[in-house]
Amino acid sequence: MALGKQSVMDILDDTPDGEAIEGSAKPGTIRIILADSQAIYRVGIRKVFALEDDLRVVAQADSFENLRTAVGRYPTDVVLLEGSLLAGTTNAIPELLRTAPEVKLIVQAVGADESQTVELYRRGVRGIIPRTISPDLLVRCVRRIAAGETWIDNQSVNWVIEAYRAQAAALVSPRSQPRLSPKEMSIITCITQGKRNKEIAFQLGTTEQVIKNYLRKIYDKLGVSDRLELALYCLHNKIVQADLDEELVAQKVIHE
Amino acid sequence: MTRNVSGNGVLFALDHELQPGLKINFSLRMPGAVLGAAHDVLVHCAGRVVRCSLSQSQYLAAATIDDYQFAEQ
Repeated sequence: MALGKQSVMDILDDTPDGEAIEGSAKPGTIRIILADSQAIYRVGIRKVFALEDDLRVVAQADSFENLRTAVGRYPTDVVLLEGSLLAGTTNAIPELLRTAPEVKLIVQAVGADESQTVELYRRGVRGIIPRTISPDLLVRCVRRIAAGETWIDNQSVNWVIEAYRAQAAALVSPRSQPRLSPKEMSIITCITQGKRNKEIAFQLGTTEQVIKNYLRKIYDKLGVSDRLELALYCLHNKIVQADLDEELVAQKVIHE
Repeated sequence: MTRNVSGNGVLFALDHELQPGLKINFSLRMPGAVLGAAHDVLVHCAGRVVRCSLSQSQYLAAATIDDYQFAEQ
């Protein structure tokens, strides 16, 4: 595999000389890549795993780009991935799994979010854990997931089941509208009022990046590609308010 | 008068002909009540005519939407 010079330099190898350790790994050893933007987490988690004979950190990455390179370079069983490294990406997980189909992904998320949780599991993540997970539980999680299990808490189970139910209902009734969360509806309302992402973020008390992430999901759900299409979709389907007749008038045509 | 609209283009009904290739600016007014806004939502668009044909007593002009901007509320 051809690697860019910068990419190679940016991978934070576990071994001093940067070589893969698979040759020295005992049979049954779980090979792990730590992908986290914060060195303190990488260092801490690596120390936790160092106490376990069957867990071995083969590489570390501080960005998604470097993770992709590392996964292509080192045979890996489990990737422990900081959720925020996925921010701003759309097909990051499927891309990663195309590169290394056998890799099992664990995402460390800052907060529990229904749509994000369902989306992560849908795209192939095997487990979602909080950043505050205890060392013992983290070790158990890695072993279970390496063994082929899925790590999912009760709340997430309910979200995933609900998502499958909604999907099944949509298949039975293709004319039904996509299910939108209250927050997605709030964002759509702001968009159709002509507000900018920054204004929406301020109004909803969040960041512009979060709004962008939500918008991407909304576009995917509704099959639109931009704000104008979204507004037109809302107009045609009356998803914001359903009690008035559709009306769209072009005011004027100005020749240039 | 707008006959149809999508995210990519608009079909206008006009009483005069527009030449294909002509660059035009137009505004779309969307009913605020349907969109959950206090006022109607105005979108300023820029595009160009791609075809224009006579249909019965009026011209139907199809135009692209190359650029647009939601008007300040």
